[in-house]
Amino acid sequence: MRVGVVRFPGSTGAEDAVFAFSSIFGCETKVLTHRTEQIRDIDLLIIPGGASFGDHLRPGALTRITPIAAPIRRFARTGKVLGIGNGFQVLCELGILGGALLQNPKLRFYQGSPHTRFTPGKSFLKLDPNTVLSLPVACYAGRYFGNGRTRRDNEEQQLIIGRYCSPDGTVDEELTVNESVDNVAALTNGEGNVIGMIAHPERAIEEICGSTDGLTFLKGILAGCSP
Amino acid sequence: MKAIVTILPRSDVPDPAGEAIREQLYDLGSSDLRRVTVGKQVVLDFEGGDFSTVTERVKKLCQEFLVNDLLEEFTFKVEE
Repeated sequence: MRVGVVRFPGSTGAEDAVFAFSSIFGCETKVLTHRTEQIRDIDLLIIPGGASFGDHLRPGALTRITPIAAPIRRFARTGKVLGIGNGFQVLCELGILGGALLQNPKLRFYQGSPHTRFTPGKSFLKLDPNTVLSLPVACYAGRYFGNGRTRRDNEEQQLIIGRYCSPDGTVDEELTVNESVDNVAALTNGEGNVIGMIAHPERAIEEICGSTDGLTFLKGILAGCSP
Repeated sequence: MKAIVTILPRSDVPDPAGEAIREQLYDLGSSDLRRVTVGKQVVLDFEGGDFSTVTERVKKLCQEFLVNDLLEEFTFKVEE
């Protein structure tokens, strides 16, 4: 399995992603920079977390005018892409996923391991429906927002593949994190080959991390990338 | 030519900074404030150019990059 990890200036999550895919899963992993003009020989593209370009203008916005923006858009037509944290914001800013991520309510930095119920549907994620995982979240702009049209599209096309929930998997509006609309924790695109999520599965892959739920999630991602 | 772009959150988009300021101003006696909106201003200082060309360029830059139209709306003025 060949994994590409995009490291923008400020992408602090790139090293964690490289460690997870190379050291834990034994994937052939390479780092792509924002100056990369072609993406090839990759089975899975990771847009990691961390404040790309310092989150100036809007989180993820400055990535739109980097040389790698067009190659990411091209790759995302058919290739498998996972955006984590800020990477989710980047995918929204590039117009690959619908909606946007806003600053958290009360401008608070959120840190925790909320539960998410996954219903992979047509996405490339291979997990049993209704699997509940507790995954680490650390962000100040993790409030998923969509206008009426975006939210309708999300529901009608079943694009919401992860919703914040209780430990037993109950999804309730009051259990959402950072007031994300419709409890959105993870989203896919119409073709199911792109996934964005606010949580960081790569930070819950060994017992020393306090949880291995991220391992379960990433195994599901890699299983979906196998030929 | 100089373009001064004002970017504000759309009325249906949560604005936690504006809400925090509104709450504090309420405590200071401004109980009649319905909403406070916090945005940003971007000043683009062009070398030369004429009014109509700069106006078109700024509009394009806003639509393609400076503004996320799902979240924000913008106005701008161009001056010498």
